[in-house]
Amino acid sequence: MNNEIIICSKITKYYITLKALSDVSFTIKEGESVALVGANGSGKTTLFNIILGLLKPQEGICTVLGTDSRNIPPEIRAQTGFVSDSAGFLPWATTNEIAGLFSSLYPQWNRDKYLELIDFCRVDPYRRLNRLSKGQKRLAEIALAGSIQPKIMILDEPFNGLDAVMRIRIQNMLRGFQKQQGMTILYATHILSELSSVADRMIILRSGEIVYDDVIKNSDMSPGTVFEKYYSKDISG
Amino acid sequence: MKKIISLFIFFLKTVFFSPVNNPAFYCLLLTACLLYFGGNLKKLETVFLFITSAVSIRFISSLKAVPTDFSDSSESLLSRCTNLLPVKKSYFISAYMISAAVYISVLVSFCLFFGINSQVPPDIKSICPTEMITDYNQKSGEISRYVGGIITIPDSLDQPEAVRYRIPINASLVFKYLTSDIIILKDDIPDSVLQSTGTDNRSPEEIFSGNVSEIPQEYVSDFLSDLPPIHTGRLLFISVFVFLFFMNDCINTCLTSRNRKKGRILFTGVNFIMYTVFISFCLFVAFDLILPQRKLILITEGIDQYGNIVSGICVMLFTSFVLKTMLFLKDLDRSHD
Repeated sequence: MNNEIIICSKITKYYITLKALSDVSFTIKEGESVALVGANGSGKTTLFNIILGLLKPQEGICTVLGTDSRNIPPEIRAQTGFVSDSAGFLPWATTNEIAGLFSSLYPQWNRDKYLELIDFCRVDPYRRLNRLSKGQKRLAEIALAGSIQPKIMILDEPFNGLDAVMRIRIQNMLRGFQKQQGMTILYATHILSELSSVADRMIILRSGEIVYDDVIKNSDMSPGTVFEKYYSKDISG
Repeated sequence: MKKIISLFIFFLKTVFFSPVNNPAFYCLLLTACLLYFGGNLKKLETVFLFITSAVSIRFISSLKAVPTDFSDSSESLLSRCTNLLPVKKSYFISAYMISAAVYISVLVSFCLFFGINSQVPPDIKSICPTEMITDYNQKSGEISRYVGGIITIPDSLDQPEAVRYRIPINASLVFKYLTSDIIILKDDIPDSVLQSTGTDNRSPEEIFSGNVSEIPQEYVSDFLSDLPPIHTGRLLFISVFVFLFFMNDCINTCLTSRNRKKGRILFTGVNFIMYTVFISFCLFVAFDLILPQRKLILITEGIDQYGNIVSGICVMLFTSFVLKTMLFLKDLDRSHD
């Protein structure tokens, strides 16, 4: 296998008659940090769901670590960390309890890493998730996903609900994952001003189509300006 | 595998050859549960816990007055269970089966609770004089065996004390209560009660309104032979409900994973049928308790065995569920404190 860890080829996805994704193709190399940006309803979450095998595309194929995403075996699944934009864990369980559950499911679970991350994120591990604030809950999820030490980390709007301090801390943490562990990170975000500090590459989705895909450093413009350029019609109304 | 087979054989032996009222039966079940869940099945347990939680949220959220985010988290959780956790499908199938069994046992426990707290309505008279119950209890030393046998018939002897006994804590009895129209504690009625006093042409009401000791044995036999021991309709009712409950969760899982459109239509349909059946069932039981329909309580050997098997399985599942959760949480505390 070459170092292309995620390959999406001509993905088309319909929701009944609505075309959510149209002929989407891209590859992500091992150790890359890619930001997926786009307006609400542009197809970001649909694309994540296809990569994770939660949805099947009508056309095209997506491979993750060399496996078709429609049929990912447990060994490959264990290499994928996911932080969703909605509550995904047992709401009445504490972070520690969920860590206990994960430890039995993920072979590469690292307890020391978990303790380190939970401390870094300043989350009370003895508090139930439904008692945590939205931001704290998100931090707990990131800490848990990081502790399974996946090869790929997929984060759907991970910085929502976080204050500026914690956002920067988490960005640094994700950068650390990428540099120290060679983790591939793919995340959707709406915060464009800080994009260059967390991502190497930016993909812009508009109405289910990729309209821009390039390394951030290659562009003279800031990610925000690039985004505005492709969404100028929508912005001007 | 060997362990599971031996446990299965052990379980069958226990169910079929041990009387359900024997405390040893429960002790053996407890031991079996400990053996089973003390084994190396951590992954299954984890998946099971996830699924049970997801199904619980789904169940709670399907009741009214629940915040919407509760329902959302359920879908997300099920989705995570079925697609994102790195486990084989067989684990999910096993966990799902266990979850379904747990929910059945919870349902039966609910019925049990219902049974414990149900009182025979005061307008229904008993043909059993209180004294006779007391006498019999003194002889047998087992009040529960006779309390379940309270015989109720409208316009019989005016003994309100006798009918105010509560149904004892006994899962098998509750199941019999649900599945039988007519139950007599046949084996528990003293011989003296069943002694024949000759052929009698009176109607059942006339006979039963008299002293219980006057019931001719052949009449009792005829009376029993005319009535099916298990009410098929009611049993079917429960089966349909359990099936739909299980289907509901299965479809919900499909819904959150693949083929959402088809799943959603199926889920809505099954959900509607399930709750219709459930509400009908509740009304059915409620009316059954309120209205003086039940004439006689009979426990035949056949029903008894049937009840033992069902209650045995339910008790085992419920006990194992509680035990498993306790052990699991204890384990979690140990690993992270």
